[in-house]
Amino acid sequence: MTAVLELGRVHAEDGQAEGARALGALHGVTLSLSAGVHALLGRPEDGTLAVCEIASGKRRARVGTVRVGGRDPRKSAAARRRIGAVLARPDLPEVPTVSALLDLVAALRGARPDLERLGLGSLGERSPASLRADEARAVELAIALATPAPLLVALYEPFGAVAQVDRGELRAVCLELAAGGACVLVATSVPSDAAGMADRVHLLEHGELLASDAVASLGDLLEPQALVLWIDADGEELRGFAAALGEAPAVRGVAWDRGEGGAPAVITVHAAEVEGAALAIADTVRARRARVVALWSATPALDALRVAARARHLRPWPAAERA
Amino acid sequence: MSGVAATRPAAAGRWLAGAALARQRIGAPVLAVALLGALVAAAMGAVERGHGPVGAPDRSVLVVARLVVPLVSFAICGAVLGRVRLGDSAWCVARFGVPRRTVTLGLVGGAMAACAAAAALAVLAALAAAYGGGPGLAHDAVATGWIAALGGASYAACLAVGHGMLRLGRGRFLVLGLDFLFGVGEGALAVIWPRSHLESLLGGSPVLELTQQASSVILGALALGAWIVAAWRTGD
Repeated sequence: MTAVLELGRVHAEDGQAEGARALGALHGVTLSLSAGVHALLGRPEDGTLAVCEIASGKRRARVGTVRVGGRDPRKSAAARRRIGAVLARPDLPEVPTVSALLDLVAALRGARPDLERLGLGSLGERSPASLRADEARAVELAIALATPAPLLVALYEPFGAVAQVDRGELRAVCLELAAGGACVLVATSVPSDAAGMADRVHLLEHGELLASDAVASLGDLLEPQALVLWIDADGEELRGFAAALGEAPAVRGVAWDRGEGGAPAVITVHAAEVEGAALAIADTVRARRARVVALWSATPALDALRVAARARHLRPWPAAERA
Repeated sequence: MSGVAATRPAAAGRWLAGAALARQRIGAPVLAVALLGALVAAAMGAVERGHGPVGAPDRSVLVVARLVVPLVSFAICGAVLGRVRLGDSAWCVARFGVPRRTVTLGLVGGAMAACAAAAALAVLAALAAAYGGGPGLAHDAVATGWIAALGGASYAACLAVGHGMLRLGRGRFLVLGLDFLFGVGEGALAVIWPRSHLESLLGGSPVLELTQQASSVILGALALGAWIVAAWRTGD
């Protein structure tokens, strides 16, 4: 498969902390991404923002090569015309209204972004200067997703500090773009977001690529979120509680374990969304008057994922695709 | 829509995008700086008139050219070009596939126009205060107004080159400092700085014994050259 985004032994910093040290840096990262939805999993300190900034053409790499569709986006306006990007800080041109901004984008790119599709129609008459940062990022997101004939769409934390955007719709648009031959790069620090959006996951740690693999092969490392609950209950009471919880529509599955020697029982609640599971637990606890000892989110944390990834010896990016 | 028709507005939009960006950035802060500059210039004119009405207009215009024009241009460039590197300032439009140098050309052009207007306003305010209603104001206003405007535009273009240097465009401080340092002389080092030619045109000592016509041509060439260099350095 032809590579769309190629980074060759890139050393670079992000420009997040203006006037001070960069938040994150890359230390000799080599990466080759073809069409599809890719998640770049890591924190800004690991260099996720730096990747998005150099791939979008905002910043140049200190050392190494960056190519999007075979051209350096920092030096090629033609390449940038086919790149959509949402970076950490919104950077929109000063125009009277968001609608005028969309007209400007249409004049420059030949296609007018559609705010309605992401549910942002209400922002049309606002002045870009009056938008909150999350609203401005949402407008940037709509513009990025409407890039005509896109080569690359780089989205930095598209679920964080972005207002009003429908996640399902965002995922659908990303899949459409990928099907059309675009490389959609989603940089996130939340493993469940990476699993929910992408076909492949690339783990960054301290500016180096730790692992790259298909989401499917990461298996239970990126399992849907779960909540673990400790309650003072035993026998029938515990079974009844678990059964009631299992009937809640938001809950996918319930596993329970009786506490030994007077210890509280442990109930693990699997759900598509942790909020839904939490509400189901609250309702069941209220209905059955159970006494909750503790509650813990079992969502795999980024650090836990890294440890697990190292332990599994996840293979590095295949040599054929790297070349 | 045919392909040709679709690309025409895009091409025109690309060329105008930088100028439109500058027009949006020239807002209340730029106006406030220009008015403050005019106020300070008027105060200088009044002080010079207080020292003695004979030669007060010439002295006040020179002081304004030495202090007010560079500082007002510096502040206006900061507002229009931003307190970042020039390429980063153009990024908000360049990200949509417009070459940075195209955006920068319009952006710096807008800053030059604003600085020219502010410099002319300052000099006119100083003259008005120095004359205090006496005769000769209209004649002097026409003669010095365009020189101040050219000086302001030249300062803006040179500062724009500085905006493209060092982290966060801090090269602008370097340009301002070097202009203050070397622009005061009459030797070869002063030739490339706007201050020396602006002073020469407003009644100061000539640089390298150059005529005022030569100084005005060099000042214009500095503005044009620095404008092109500033835009060119930002790249595609």
